[in-house]
Amino acid sequence: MNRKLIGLAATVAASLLITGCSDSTDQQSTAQPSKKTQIYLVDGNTTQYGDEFKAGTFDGVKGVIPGGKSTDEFRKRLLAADPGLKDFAYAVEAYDSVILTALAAEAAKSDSSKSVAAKMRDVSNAPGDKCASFEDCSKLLKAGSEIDYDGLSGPIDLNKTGSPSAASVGIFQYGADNTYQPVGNETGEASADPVPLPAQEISGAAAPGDGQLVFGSLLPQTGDLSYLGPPMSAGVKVAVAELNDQGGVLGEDVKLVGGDSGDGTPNIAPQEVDKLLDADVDVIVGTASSSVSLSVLDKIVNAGILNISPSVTSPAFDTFPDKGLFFRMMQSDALQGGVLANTMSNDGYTDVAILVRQDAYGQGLAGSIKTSFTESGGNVVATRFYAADSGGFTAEVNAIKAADPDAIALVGFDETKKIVPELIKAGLWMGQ
Amino acid sequence: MDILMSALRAGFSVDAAYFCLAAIGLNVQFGYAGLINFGQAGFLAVGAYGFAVGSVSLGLPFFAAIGLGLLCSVALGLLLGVPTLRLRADYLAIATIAASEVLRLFFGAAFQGVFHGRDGISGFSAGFQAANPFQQPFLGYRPTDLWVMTVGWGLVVVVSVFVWSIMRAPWGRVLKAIREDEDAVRSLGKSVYTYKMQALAIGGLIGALGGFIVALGQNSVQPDNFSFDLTFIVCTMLILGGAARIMSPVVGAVLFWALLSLVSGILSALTEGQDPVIPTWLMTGDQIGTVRFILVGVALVLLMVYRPQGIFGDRKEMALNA
Amino acid sequence: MRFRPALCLVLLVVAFFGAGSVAVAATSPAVTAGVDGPGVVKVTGKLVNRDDTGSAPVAGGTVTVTDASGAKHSATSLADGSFSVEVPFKVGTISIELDETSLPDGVALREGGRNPITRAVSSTLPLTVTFVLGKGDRQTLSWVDQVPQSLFNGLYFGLIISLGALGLSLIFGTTGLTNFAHGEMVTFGALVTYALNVMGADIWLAGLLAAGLAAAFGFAQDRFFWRPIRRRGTSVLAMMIISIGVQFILRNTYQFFTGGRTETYRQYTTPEGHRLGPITFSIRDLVCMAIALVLVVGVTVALRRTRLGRATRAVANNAALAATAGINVDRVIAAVWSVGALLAGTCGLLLGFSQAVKFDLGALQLLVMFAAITVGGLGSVWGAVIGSLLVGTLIEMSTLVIPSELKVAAALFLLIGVLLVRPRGLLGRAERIG
Repeated sequence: MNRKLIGLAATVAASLLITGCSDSTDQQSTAQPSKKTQIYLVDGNTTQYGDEFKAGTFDGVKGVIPGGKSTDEFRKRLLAADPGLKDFAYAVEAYDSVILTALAAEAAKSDSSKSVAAKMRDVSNAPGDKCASFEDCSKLLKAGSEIDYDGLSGPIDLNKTGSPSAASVGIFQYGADNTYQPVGNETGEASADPVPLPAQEISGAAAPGDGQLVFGSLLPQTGDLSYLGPPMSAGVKVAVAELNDQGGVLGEDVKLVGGDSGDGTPNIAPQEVDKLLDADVDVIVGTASSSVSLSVLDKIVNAGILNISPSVTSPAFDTFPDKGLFFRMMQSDALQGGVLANTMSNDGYTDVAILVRQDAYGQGLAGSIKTSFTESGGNVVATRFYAADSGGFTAEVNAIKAADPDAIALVGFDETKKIVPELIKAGLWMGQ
Repeated sequence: MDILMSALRAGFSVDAAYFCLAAIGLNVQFGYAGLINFGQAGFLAVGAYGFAVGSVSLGLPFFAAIGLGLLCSVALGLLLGVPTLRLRADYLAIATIAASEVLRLFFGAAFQGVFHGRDGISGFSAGFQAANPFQQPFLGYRPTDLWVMTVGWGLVVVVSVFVWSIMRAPWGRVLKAIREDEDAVRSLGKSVYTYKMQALAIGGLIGALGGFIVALGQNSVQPDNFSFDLTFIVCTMLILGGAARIMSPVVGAVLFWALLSLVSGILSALTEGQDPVIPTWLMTGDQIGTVRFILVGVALVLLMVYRPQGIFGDRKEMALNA
Repeated sequence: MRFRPALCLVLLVVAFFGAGSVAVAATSPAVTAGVDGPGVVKVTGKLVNRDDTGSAPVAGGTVTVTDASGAKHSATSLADGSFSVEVPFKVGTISIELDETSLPDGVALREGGRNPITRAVSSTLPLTVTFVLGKGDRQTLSWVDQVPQSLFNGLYFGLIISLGALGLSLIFGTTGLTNFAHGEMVTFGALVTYALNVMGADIWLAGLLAAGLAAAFGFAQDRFFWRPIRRRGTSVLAMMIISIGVQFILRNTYQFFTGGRTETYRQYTTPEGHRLGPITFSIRDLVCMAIALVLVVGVTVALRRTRLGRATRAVANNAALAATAGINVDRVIAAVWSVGALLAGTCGLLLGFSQAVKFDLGALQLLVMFAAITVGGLGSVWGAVIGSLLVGTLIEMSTLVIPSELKVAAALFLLIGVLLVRPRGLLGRAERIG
């Protein structure tokens, strides 16, 4: 067995050397006559892969991202704040989190968390004059008008449980250069305004503010999701700088305190929350992942502090007893999953597989994709969960291959870079 | 000044309390009995999950749920001890680390109806908080935390007194003798195996108490809270304080958290503002989290090399000959 | 083609992703018009027939939507199979029916395919319907069919891991150190290869340099760190704890530089699959396996045949005795560290192909390597290799039975099981282990 293998491999190695070590994939035609399987990505892994992969690797892959996309001009500002940025995921949402809270503070004429929380819906929803920057909005507020802030990430109409109600989900497609371009967009109201539970109402009197609005960021610096931290952190910094350029909030410069949300290994988020609370923050911007947020939200709202997350999407937050203090800039996964299912259906696929990162984010999103697609009449022929920390994903890809789906929804984060090559090897994806 | 106060507060926080309990447990196993248990995270996990499942899924009353957690930790101690305690120290280390990882993976993926996958279980401390006598923040701690801290540090005191008393008793002396020379103890007709098993179970039980404090403090438990890094940090604390001393886990835990907070406070002061003291090409504020863990590693290495006995320990006792 | 909706979409997209705040303000009325006004709900889908000959769009199929107030709206599928019906927005349920008589000859609903399909309307978000047509063209594999592929993947993974395990076992055998920082040497190989490759070096050159640098790193680690510590008379257990500290330092340092991102080499990351019977593999996989095999065989032969190899085994057996026999123990240990690190680095750079490059690449495999050398027998060279193959195969095969999130747990169970029944492992020497 071993000798055979050596022989085979040696021949192969020799042939490789002869062809001058060019990229192996160009050489032989595949032995697989199999049909084309389409790949769909979600907001966690629809990023600009660019030259990280050979040209054409992602050609034709589709993805959905709820909310906004940073414009070139905004990207320049982000890069000025952090020259090392490699991608821009959730940066606009982080920026809007800060601007919206600052406007709510202006409207409340107080920096106290509960007063600000009470104004969050007012400044984000109609009725009110529409405005799209802190400068314009604060002028309107000072003139005594009601406002409706429409940020870079979209119209941001917060519902009664603190999530955006009207939302748009962009549909994107990758080209041969492994970057994506918008091909469509679905907009609408996710569902009727939910009725908040009693424990989701603001309770108790607001503490008197100290006049200075202090933001704490609780974004990942360490751990598995630490690559998500820098763009969000840059978004927050850009927003804070803009506020201070405009003369601050309530006439005082706003302050920013940084914290690390980690990812639970080890669990440093509660400790960091303490640090932020000790620094007397009024608003905590974060965290990036639903799992970590769930582990600290209780602590934050019990301290009476407003928490706004740029990116968490788990449906669990719709019913979390947050005392009216939790807000987010991302729709609950129900919407994104529905749009992804719609896209698969509109592309004519009937038997799809879902490969999912096993955590709050993945399970929530996969669940809503599955529900929507099944309701539309299609079949989900395989749902496979994987542990993000298990290294390789050959076994998971084989299981998907065994079900031979028409299309695959890949729900995950950065590990998609390991999964797509495995799909190619298994003959499930070959670009276009 | 703020940084110092913050560090001081961190030293007595809920986190410090549960790490302290975990370290006391490890001290019984490692400090007194010489058992390298690298699976302390597993004991915390079992304690926390036993309690959480008991109160959420089974709807048990508070103390019954705690009882369930403790029972599970003893069971884990026995399960782990039977096959591994006869092994050499390095085998024991590998076996216990493997066991705690199996537990973490198991809680994260199996029986999701009960354990809720990687999100874990949350929302079970309402009853506990209802009995909270604290209404006002005190010294910057919030009422909910104050209550968990009171119980946590109360447990630390009780457990420390307990450990102190059993280590003074003949039982403790046999244990230390086992650590120094197993064969000598065997020749006296004592069952080394039984003593080791008891030490492992008692240490695990104390670790499980730490698990409750995690669960109560966060009002949630998640499998990833109990990774190997937790054991590693507990180990660092114990060595910082000095193994085989009653006060060492307490001092180690308080110092560790205070220093961690101090380091990140200083680093964030140095990376703050338009023109930070540390240039941004070298390090940005987003990297504080990583840098301070590098420093933790450096501290552990330096401690082990230059002062393995820690602050209180006796160098002879930390000879760790195996 | 859907002309009007398509135009609307284009407009919306242009407006939305156009330029900055002005565009946002311009879009917003368009967004809210659908929500607040009487509004319509668009029902869309695509008719595609799938059978043995492949998939083809179905034109001319008639779809009728009965809205919540009972009114009917129809549309016919276009040449690309797509159809679109607009119904007035009203909260309730709508029913969508495909007229099967309108389908071309030879096209029919698949057995069990739903028709009509009912959907709940709660918002103005578009709804889709999926009619499943034709016999289908899926070729599913049974449990048994998947065994050969899993076995191959397991052997592949095992062979690569065996490089890391071999290094771990060699260092353990000669110095008695259970090195918890070994995973970081694995990561080192991958990171250096990645860095050089991105800077423009060909992957072969980058790999060779990385392996060389890994060996140098191992040598330096021993010469300037572990040897002084051994000289101080630090016990083996204390060194084990020190190695945990080293692991923490290195892993976080890697993260400091890479920021926690997953990176890929610029070459050979997406090789094509080739099929041989029931197994799909890529040429790259075979080359990786060959490299691993050559190294494993080379090291084992060198340990038997060369002077240094024999000296190494002597030190492993009894360092003091070896020293009195005139063997320079320190030199042997330095060589073992270099070779161990070279093997680990190569393991990492090969792993980097299939598992991408990340700061915790090696750390995630540390326990797998421990499992491998314990199963094979601590300190035994062939044991490390056989153990790796066994553990690798078990990890991949176990997913056929248990959820794949638990695949690593299977290996760890094997580890605990082996310790229970045969603590010295398959090929370990019978010695006192308790």
